[in-house]
Amino acid sequence: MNRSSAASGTFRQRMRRALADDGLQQAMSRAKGGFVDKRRDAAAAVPEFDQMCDASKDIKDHVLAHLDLYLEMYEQKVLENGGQVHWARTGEEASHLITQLCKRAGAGLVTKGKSMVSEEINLNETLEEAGIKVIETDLGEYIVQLASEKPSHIIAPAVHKTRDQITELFHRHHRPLGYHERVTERKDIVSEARSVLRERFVSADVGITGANFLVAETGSSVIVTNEGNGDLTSCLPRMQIVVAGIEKLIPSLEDLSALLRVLARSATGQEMSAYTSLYSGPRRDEDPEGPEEYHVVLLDNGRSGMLGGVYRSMLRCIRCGACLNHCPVYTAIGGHAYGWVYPGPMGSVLTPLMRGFDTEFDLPNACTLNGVCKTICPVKIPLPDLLRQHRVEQHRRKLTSSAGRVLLSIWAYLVRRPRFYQAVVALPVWLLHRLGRERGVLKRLPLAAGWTRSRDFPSPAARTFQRQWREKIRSRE
Amino acid sequence: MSDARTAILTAVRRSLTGGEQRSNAARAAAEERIQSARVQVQPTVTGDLLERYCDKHVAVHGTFDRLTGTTGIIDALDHYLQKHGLIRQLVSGAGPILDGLDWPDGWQVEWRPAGTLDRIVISEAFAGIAETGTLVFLRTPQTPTSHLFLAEDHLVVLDISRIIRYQEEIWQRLRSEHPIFPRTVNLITGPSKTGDVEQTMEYGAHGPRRIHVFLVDT
Repeated sequence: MNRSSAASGTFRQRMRRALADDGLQQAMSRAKGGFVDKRRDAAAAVPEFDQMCDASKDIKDHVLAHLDLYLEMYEQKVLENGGQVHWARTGEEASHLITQLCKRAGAGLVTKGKSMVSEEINLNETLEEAGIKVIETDLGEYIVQLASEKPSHIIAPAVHKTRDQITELFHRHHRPLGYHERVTERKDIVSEARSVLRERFVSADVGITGANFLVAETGSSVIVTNEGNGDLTSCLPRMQIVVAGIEKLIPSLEDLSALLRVLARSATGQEMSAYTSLYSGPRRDEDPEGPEEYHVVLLDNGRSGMLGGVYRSMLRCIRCGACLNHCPVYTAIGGHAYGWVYPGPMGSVLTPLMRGFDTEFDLPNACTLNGVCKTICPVKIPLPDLLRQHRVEQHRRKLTSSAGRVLLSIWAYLVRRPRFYQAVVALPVWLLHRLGRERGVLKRLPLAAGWTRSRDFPSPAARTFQRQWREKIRSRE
Repeated sequence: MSDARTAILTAVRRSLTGGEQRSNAARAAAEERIQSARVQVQPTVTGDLLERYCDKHVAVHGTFDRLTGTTGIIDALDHYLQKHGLIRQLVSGAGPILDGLDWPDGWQVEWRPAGTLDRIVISEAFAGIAETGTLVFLRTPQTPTSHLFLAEDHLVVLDISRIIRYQEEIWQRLRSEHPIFPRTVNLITGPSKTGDVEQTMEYGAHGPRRIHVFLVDT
């Protein structure tokens, strides 16, 4: 299923399609246990893990509270290193800026490391409209690019693809390049991608990556990968461009170490990813290789606004993807159903903030509030609380259904008057109890067919809890 | 500077301070935070650092030889090449140990940036981190970044006296030994790999398929 069909329509339509997509369901059920187990084992292996998470949270809180200052200090260092810093208020501004840089470099081919921010700003489309060819180099990103799709997971972009689907994609796209055999084994798939992308790396004019962190102390951009694609993207072309949200700043190298310790463990269950690289400016006079220009594009796109209110904690996010892996909704429907770049719990918080509450109504409601994401988040973002805050905001802006609003008003009126409430609920509770007496469950409920279509409704006890409680107290006395 | 810069910094300040200019005290607090280089919580790393380094390196699919003195390096390297059916043709980086090697006749060793056809590269690491089995490389004119990523077999010489306990010790060393921060610092933990096909690790994604370390006791 390609991007246009998987991500089109309303959330409800996308969700239904996802649940009916056998390939997706097969890929997701294969993936979900692995991520969760690996993270759990990695966290359990270090007794200090919780303290490390607390420290990481504190670092991010400190940076966010002084963000303007760290941005200025970071910029100063990048300039000292011989690099250039560009600022972009919106995604459009950022992708336009990068396109201009590429044009100035006379770029025909651009290689890219995996970058969620580049997805956020629609970079590939903008570059291609300008006649510049873009090649994704992270294997997962490359697979979804061949399929004309978008990543469905922030660290495992092709998690929704089965091996058979990848085999067919490679066969279709690599045959014209002289690869005639179908590759079906994992190692052969990886080898073929390596061989095809090798040529791209060396012939690219510009390399674009995101950044996991930006270090104010040294003006370094830091990327973390397992494949090494981000590094080949960064060190081989003439021009290196880094695009990152303003929240990626951290103060010192020691803070970097602290955050790296929780990032890899939370993301893939590793102690360290294979490659952690700090890039600080363009090649220097004595260097035989390396980019002649080094540009950093700092993106706001709503982040400065989020700093000022209850959503500031969301800017602590280090994009590990653990909340996706642990979410029952994400693991059932996959990333594309969320309709935009950021899926899962973090996406349901971010997307309405970046794209508007009215267009993204369903996301905050597609949550069971089970709270697991909050528990496993390495920087302790209170994701369910933020989603609940979104619901409050939807209600306040009158985006919720009128029937729902009326019912909520009635409910609110009742619960603030306990005696009246008890009198009103006693009769329906008794009635439901009578209806479900034989089996203890109700197969059908008036006005609640939506609920009972797929599950039974447990019938209530004969008397309300409060009444039983009063009787219990009385019998003790 | 640009309009966007002013707009973003103003918006950030509006959110944080209600638009007030920052006091010197706040500025000093941020600067102090960087200067203090405060080390955060670290995992407990006890015991012999060399042993720990080896264990962690093997756990991430690395291999190694332990050598006493630098004289055995070329023999050990030759053994490695024979074992993997490779010829004596490689690109070399530089460093205190590598610079002292006396390559025998018949070896084709070149000192230049690596290209896509280079099968084997030998480098000297700046340090090894026992905590995670990580190798640290600094870019210098003689050890360009391409050396670390283009070869299939990456062979690394590491002076065991440069094995440190925690990652933070690199930053301390860099501050004292390198007043100008290197253009690139690479922390490498095992060979290149990917989990992008069925969430199962495969080695040799884009970077080296194998990393072999010669641990040299000088």
